[in-house]
Amino acid sequence: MRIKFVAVVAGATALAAVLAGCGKSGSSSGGGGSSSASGSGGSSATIASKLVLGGPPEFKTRVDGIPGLQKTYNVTFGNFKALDAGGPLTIGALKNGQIDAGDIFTTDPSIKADNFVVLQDPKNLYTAQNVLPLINKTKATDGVSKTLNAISAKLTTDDLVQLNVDVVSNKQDPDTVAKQWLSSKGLGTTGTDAAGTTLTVGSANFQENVVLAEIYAEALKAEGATVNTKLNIGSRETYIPGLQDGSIDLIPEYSGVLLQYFDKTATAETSDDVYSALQKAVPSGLTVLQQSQAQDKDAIVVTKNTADKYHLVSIADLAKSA
Amino acid sequence: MISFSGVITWLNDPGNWRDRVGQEGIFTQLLNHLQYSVVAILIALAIGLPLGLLIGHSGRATFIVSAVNALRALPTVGLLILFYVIIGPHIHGKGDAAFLIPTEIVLVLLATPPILANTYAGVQNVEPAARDAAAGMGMTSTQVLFRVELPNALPLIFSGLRSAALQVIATATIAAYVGLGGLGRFVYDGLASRDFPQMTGGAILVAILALVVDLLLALGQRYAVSRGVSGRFSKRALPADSRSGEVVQLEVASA
Amino acid sequence: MIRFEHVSKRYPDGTVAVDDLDLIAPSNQITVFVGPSGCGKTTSLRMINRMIDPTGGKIFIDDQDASRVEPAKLRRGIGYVIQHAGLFPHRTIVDNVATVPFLLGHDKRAARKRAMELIERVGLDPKMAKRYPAQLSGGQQQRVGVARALAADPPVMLMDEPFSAVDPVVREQLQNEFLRLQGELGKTIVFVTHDIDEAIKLGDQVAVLRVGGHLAQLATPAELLAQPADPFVAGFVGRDRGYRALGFTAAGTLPTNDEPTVRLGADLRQAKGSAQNGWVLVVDDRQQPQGWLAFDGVADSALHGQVTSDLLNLGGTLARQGGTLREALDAALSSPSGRGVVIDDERRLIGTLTASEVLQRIEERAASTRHEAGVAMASSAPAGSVVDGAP
Repeated sequence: MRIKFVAVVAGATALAAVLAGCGKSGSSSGGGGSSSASGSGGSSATIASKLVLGGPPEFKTRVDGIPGLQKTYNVTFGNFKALDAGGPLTIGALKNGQIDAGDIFTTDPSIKADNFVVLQDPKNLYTAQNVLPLINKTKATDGVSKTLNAISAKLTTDDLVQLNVDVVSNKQDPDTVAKQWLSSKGLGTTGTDAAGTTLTVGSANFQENVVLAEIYAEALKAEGATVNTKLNIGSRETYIPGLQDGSIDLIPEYSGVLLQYFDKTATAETSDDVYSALQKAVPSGLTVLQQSQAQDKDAIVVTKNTADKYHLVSIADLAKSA
Repeated sequence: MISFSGVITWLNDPGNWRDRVGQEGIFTQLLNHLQYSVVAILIALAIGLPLGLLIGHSGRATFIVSAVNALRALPTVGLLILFYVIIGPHIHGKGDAAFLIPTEIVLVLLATPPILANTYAGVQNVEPAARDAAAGMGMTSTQVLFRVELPNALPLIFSGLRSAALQVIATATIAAYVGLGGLGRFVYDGLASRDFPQMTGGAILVAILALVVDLLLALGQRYAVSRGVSGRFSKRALPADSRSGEVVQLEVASA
Repeated sequence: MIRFEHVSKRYPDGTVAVDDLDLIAPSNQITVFVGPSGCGKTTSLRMINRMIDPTGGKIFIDDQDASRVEPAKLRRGIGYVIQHAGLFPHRTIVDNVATVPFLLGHDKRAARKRAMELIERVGLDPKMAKRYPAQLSGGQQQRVGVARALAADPPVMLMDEPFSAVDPVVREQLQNEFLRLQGELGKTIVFVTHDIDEAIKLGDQVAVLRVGGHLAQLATPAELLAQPADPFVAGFVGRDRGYRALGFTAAGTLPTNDEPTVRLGADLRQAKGSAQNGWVLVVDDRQQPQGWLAFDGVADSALHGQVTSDLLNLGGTLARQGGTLREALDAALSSPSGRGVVIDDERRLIGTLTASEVLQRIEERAASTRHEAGVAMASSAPAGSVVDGAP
């Protein structure tokens, strides 16, 4: 019995050692989810090749992800870590130094709070992402459209940053924040433009979108509409069909990704190009109203230290020799 | 629509099994997945087995078993992010440690309750008569534990180990959520890029791995557990005692 | 020998399990602790091998203070048999039996060899040795338990209700074989039981304990039956005292009557001719009784063929010549013909007895016992006291 016991323990330890050894050699080439991107991008060491990029898993194949960085800017990072899309993992990893550059959204409060530097994107790799209402055509009455367009006319990117700070960092109630914004812009006064209409306003499951949905909802309510909200629905796979079958009628969206969703082959990059392409690509039954100038788009973000160390201002600087 | 043939194609493509630039292959991720799992299970064993033996043997501090059992209810991904947020800032450098340690902590938290609870139950369920006899014959407390209680507790201990292994292998996919490897990589990448054959293929591989490991553990169980305990002996009729059983005609009157 | 000196066991909540117990369990004899639930018999036993430690008093084993020896070491020198055997499920029978020798570090081969001898000695088939406890019946497991206790040849054995968990038929076999074994080995044994009949059957000396852990009486079985110390003991020993006491009195050489017999296979009509009062005793060709054949009211014309065993009446126990009065009386009372069969040590027929002949012998014996008791009391009683002759 004792011999059996010793044999089992020895076997298990040996197995663990073997696995640890194999695993290590596997990760020396860059960890499990990190992929070594060496081989392309030339033999001269670029700044990017010494750095680690962090972003969502789809960055590996996304048009404006790793393939896009290589194609548009000749930038190939040394390693990639699949984390979340601009979420706590990516932000934390950037702050802690586990990644050097991260895919973070331009309206994230952490950019100001942690003194991050957003690298400029002169070649428009990151498509325009203007905030606009996506609405079921039957609900887009004149009154409703007027109300929503008024909002789009006044919404700026700085507004989005501040809204995020209020709701995400300061944890205020999105509905309250929405009302405050409307009154600060002189919107949301009572009227009858939308009287007689019933709408369900949906949102995706991140706070910025929730606040935007509340802004739409409160404005329409003030104009006499009967409004329900269905917040934190999830991803496009869930709520786009919802718009088509009537479980929701209206949702705040972002032009660039929405276009990509409806038309994978789309190549428009600037705000105007994207908007016109989007109007054509939207499926029948739905429509987009006027877009705002506010954008929440992906950006390659680095810490101030990294920016200073390598003199980085735009994404193109990453392709320079180290 | 997930096409079954798409998954088969993905699994059959040798290119998916080798490593490529930017994408580790199935072999590598299998090894990674095993590595994460085995480490977690070994640590859970190192914690749960001695604790379970001690608590079962002494019968004291049983509240620990209940407390540890409560860990089973915790949400794994939420915990993973929480631990990363807590631990990440203290680990610098580009290695996997900042992500690997939170992952392993979560997996260990998942694996320990079944091992601890089953070890405790296994020892407790040893026949009281056997324990009493062992002590009465002159075994020290330690001898009773290792020579009598442990061998008889093995079926339940293995049951706990196999349960833990299954849970860990199934859950080690979360390592990919924080940028590590393992079979979860295919699941998350496949989901993110709407490559459903990849996603489903990854899930199927996890299931197959879990099955194979369970089979190996079952073999180990067969080898380690005494036949007297597992009951694997023939049930054919046994010979009567040499001096019993027969009803003697006209018995001799007992005094 | 085992000596209890003012031994007490008191629990923190106030329960007294054993109260000032003083007794000696003599060497090479079986001392039985018997009593109702809560009388402290098992507690007392378990204090001998320090499974429980006394709160007062001392226990000496062969004049050595048990509290001074390290418990595990003490126990390795004492055989321990418990109610449900407590065999180790994960070890084979032979390894179970060899447990203590293994513990003591004896050579494994030698230990197993001795274990095999013991297995046979307790009446088990050697083929059992490689099996596991789960494959054995309750009675077989108990035998293994006894073998295991004997493995290191300890001078002392403690047995806690070892035969209580098996059915009555098996229990009787085990008791008989245990007595045989003790006859060969002569161990110092303390035996706990709740069954007064078992105590009387097995004990050389019986300690009757009262609830609360008091010793009510310590005496030989015969004395216990003849002279219970107080109403509690009398009640506990129960009824049929007189009858059971017969089991302790040797019958002496019983005068038997010759009994005509018929062999198996003999012709039925001839057999009828030998019948007395309608019954004839059938024997085999070694003169061993097989059963009774009844002819009462059967016409000669109905008899065909031979005497076969399926025709026999098997009622009636057999009494050994040199056995007890109880055997003799039982043989006479249970015989269908009214004639009790007496056999020798080879189970061969000696003769028969009627119940009244046995009773006559019983009365002769009782009279002489009373006379002896009266003489003893007269010589020990103070002058002038009334001597009551009836025991």
